[in-house]
Amino acid sequence: MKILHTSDWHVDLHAAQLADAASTVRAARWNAVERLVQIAEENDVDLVLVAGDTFDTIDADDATVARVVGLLNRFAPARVVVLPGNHDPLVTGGVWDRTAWSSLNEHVILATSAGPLEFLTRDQVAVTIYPCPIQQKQSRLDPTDDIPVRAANDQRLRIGLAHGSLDALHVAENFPIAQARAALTGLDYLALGDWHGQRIFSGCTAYSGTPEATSFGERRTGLALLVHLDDSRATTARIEPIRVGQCAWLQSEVELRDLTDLAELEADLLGLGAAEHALVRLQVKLVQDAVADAPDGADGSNGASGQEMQTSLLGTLAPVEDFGEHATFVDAVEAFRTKWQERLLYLDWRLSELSVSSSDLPRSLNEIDAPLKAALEGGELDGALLDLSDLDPAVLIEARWQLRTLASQTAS
Amino acid sequence: MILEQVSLRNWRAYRGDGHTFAFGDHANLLVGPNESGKSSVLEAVRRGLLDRHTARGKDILAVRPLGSSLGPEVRLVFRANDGEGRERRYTSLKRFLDNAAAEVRVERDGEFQLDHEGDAADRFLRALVGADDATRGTLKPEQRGLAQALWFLQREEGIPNGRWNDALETNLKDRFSAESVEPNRARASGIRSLLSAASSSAQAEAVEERVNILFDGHFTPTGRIKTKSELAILTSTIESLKQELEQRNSERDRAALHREELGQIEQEDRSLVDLLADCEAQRKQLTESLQIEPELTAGLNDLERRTEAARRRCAETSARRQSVAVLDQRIQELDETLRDGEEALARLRIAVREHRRSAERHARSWEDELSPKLEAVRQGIADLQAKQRIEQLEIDVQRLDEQLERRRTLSKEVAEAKARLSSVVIVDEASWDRVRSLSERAAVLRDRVWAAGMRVQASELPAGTLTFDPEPEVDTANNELVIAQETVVGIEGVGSFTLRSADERLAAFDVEARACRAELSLVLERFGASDEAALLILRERSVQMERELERAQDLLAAIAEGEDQENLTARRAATATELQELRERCPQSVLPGMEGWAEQRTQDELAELQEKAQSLERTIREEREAEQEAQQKSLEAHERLAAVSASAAAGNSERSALRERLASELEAFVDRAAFELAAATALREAEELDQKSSALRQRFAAEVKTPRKQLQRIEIKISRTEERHQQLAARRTDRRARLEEAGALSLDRQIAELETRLASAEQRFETVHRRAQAIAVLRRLFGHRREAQSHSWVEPVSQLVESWLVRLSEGRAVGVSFDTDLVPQGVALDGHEESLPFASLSHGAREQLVVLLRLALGVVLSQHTCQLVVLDDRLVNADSTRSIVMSEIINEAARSCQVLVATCRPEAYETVVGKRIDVARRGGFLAAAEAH
Repeated sequence: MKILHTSDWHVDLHAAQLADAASTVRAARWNAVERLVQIAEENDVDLVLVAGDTFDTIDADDATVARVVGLLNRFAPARVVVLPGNHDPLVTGGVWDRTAWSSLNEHVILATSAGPLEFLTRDQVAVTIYPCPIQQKQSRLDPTDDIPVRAANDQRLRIGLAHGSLDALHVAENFPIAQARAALTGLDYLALGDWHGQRIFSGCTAYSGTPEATSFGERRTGLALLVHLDDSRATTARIEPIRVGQCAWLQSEVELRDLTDLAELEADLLGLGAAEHALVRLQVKLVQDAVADAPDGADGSNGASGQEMQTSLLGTLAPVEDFGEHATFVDAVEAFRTKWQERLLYLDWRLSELSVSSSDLPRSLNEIDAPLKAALEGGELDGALLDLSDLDPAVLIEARWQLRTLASQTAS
Repeated sequence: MILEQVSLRNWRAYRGDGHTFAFGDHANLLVGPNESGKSSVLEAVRRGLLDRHTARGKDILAVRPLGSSLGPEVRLVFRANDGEGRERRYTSLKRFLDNAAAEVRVERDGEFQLDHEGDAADRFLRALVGADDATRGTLKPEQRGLAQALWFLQREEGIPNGRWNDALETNLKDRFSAESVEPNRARASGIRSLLSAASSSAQAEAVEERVNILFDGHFTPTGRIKTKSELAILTSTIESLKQELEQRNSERDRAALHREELGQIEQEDRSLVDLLADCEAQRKQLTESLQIEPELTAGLNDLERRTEAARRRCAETSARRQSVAVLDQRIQELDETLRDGEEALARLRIAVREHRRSAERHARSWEDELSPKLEAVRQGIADLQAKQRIEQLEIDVQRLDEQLERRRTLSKEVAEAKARLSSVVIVDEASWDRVRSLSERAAVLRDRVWAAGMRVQASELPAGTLTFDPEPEVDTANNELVIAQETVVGIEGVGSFTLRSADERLAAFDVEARACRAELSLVLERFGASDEAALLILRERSVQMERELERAQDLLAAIAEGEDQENLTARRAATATELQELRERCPQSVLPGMEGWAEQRTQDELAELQEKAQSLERTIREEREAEQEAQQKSLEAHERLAAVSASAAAGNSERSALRERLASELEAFVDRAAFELAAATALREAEELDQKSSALRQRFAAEVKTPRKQLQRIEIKISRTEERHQQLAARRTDRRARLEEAGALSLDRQIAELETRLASAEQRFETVHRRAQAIAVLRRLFGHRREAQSHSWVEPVSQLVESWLVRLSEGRAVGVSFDTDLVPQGVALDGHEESLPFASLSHGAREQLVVLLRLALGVVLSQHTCQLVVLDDRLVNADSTRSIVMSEIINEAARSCQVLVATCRPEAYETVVGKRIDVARRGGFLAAAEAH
């Protein structure tokens, strides 16, 4: 038999932190579910397992519930079992307690109790599902505790459906699930939800992962699992990941020193282009090591004179072809940022470091920049400017950046 | 610039051509007496450089020589930088008014070639000192650029009101800032050579300007966020979004609350359902067990009826017993009471008797014994008092008699005195005076007669030898006879002769004297006096008597004044009458044995008697009270006696009545014992029935009542539970409806939307705010740099001024302070903590300080290009010592810059090393005269 294992739809995720991109990201979640319907159909699956956290909260709107009901109905003829998770626990008056559910087709089963569900596949294979619904947000009990051990003469396919943290090291705080649960109870497959990143463990235990990432920093998201079970139980389950999501989320720290770094970053960003939407959060460190860039003989660490260094820097900062149409490297970076700001669904560009020499500026502006640099790097400050070091470093970095932007704007 | 030469034509007193003044590169003294035209030369330099040739103001017209219609003309020869770092020589010409013209020529290859002409020439010349090139006509000091700072001309303030003009600042800044200024300012500065080619500084200024514009976009000048700026708008947007979100969230929280309640309701409801089932089972069981109830009830009713009848009987009997017992008791009580009453009667009778006797005793005591005693004592007191009164009265009568006697004596005295006085001749004042004057006159006349009369002295003549007719008077002193009238002198035995004075007056005197004497004797005779002395005695005696009379009368009057005679007599009569009466009333006015007792004894006795009387009175009062009390008591006892006997009578009659009632009560029974037996039987029967019914009741309670109560309770419980169940159902429906409502409201989507907008606004705010703060930091840094720069150019100038001032004041001034605009603020004096404000300096000192400042500016500004410092007769107030020091300073300054000093006192600048240009000799009135 074929099973489509998915979880953590979080269809009503707010994603408010994405601000203007939020609505697109929210729409993408629905699209992902549509895609799952499509995948189930294409693969002619017998069973769809939704392993919890279909909803982000139990406060989800009726409209949302109705939309989910509509989507679940579309999985027919495949049977669907939907499990309440820790985000959408089974509580009175909660999301599972809405009138919209009355229009659910009979092939969809809400796993509102721990009782085993038995049915025959189209190939007349007897299957027992042991759902472990979650009834509260938090618990330190293993939700799979109630799955009975396989009887000696039981040859049916047994499938566990649960939501929680597989607890190999016995450290999980919330809904810990014994890692050996499948083996202990003789399950042919234990379908798990809660972790957004897909994980497949030996012993037929797997997290399908969320079909669409919910935040930066998640890995192996945007996926589902296609599980092939041997009806005769002769071989173990074959588990196949399937891509579902449309959004690529990238969070990264990048260090920009020159145009090469910029080009590399661009390549990375272009790589995201495979996804329909890309969301990027960058911590940008603008690091221009004056000494390293200086021509031969101007090694600052060996006591090169300020004059020499300045000369070399003026050389690198001169409006030459190095920066293309841009006057300075700063210009080039700024242009790059603007360009990608327009192209990406979401770009959070944070200048987290500006380790550049003050001498990349004309001498008169250098005087303005020097105290900023000193304040950031813990250097010596003029008495009247001592409080600069109390300022938010982000402000100081911004000031340095602004100074350079203005300098290049007024250079002509 | 270095001024080499000035040539004037038709310039004030310098008429015509040929007035040329040449200057050295260092110190120059323009010397000439007052009005010689020194200032005209300096004026020409100023106008030649700064005034537009087209100017036609009143002050330009004044430059034209008197009566002349020619245009005044000034030619300058100077050296200056050409803006490309080369020093060149220039000539300039300015002609004002008629044929106004301006031109500048530059020396190239040994020739002066026309460089600028007309307005361009004007502008070029102004730019040399950085003066304002836009103003038409003449320039005010603050428009003169460097000339304001370096030239100290007549009738001009040495210090600007606010700050120095831009040109000075720009130039100074150029000296000390690393880079030069932007090109347009550089042009205005006029010293192009100072401009560095680096345009990066212009960029810095542009950046600064952009920073300021950006800052203004976000903040007010004081650094507050501007209203209507993006930051302000974002802040308010965020605020309102937060509020709205909070509201939505609270709605959602309400829904959550409803959900929780719903959970609780359902839980409770489940337990209610269980409870209901339990209750129903119990009810069924109880209903079954209650079926025996009617049987038990009938039995119980019958038994109770019987018990009731028995109880009634028993109650009757016991009521009767009780009433009999009460009667017995009462009769017994009455017996006792009556016995007690009789005893009491006997006691009371005795008491009455005793009290009466006591009353009589007391009455006798006070009536028979004490009252007479008191009477006697009172009589004694009265007697004593009468005696005292009589004595008093006697004394009074005596005193009054004395008084009357005295009066009588005095009246008699007065009468006698009056009589005596009437018997005496009273020498009245007029007569007395007449006697006095007559006797005086007689004496005078006698003296005169004696003086005029003849003196006869007989010597050794026996007495009687000579007879005189009339007898002459004898002057015993001289033993002479005084012959005052015709006298016949007989000589015994001889005959006689007549002596007569031939002087007529003598006769007259004599006549008059005689008349006087005659009158005198007449008067004396009237008073019966022999002579004047007697009259005097007479007079004195009468005066004496009058006085005595007067005294007696006064005394009498004084006595009469207190009380008149009649009154006194009346009083005396009254007193005597009273005395008489008293004596009659108590014939033995003196108690036996009491005569001769001292008054004190009488008093003591009286006091004693009075005391005794009081004590007796008290005793009598007490006795009377005792008597009354005894009588009262006797009366009371009597009354009680009556009451007791009355109550005894009543008791007696009540007892008989009671005995009759007792008899009637027991009428139905044979005797008392039979009655007692009947009562006991009734009681036993009642008790037995009671026990039976009580047992039955207990059974009823256990088998019927308790289960029935339980049933009731169960039913109540069931109904309550059902009610609760209903309520819960209603609440559940309500909560469900609300939850449905909340779900239908798409609250979550609204919240998501609001959160998204909030996040968007907050992200924007963060970005803008960070940028704004960054701009603020940059602005601050630019400001900081500006301040540091201004400090850097103020410093060297003020140091130079300070060092010179210390020298000039011979150490009295130890420092001078300037503000950041190089405007002097105060002078620090040796030994004083507070500095002396610039405005408080003396005129001379202030002027000297300004001169020093100009020289210092000249020196500092000349570090790059030599500058011209002009001092027009500014040190007239300096003493000779200071002049010497000042000359040294000028020498020092002139090493760096060109100094032009105009003075009418060349001796003050003797030590100045430089060129001396004598004005009086070359121009001035002499020249003017020559022209004429």
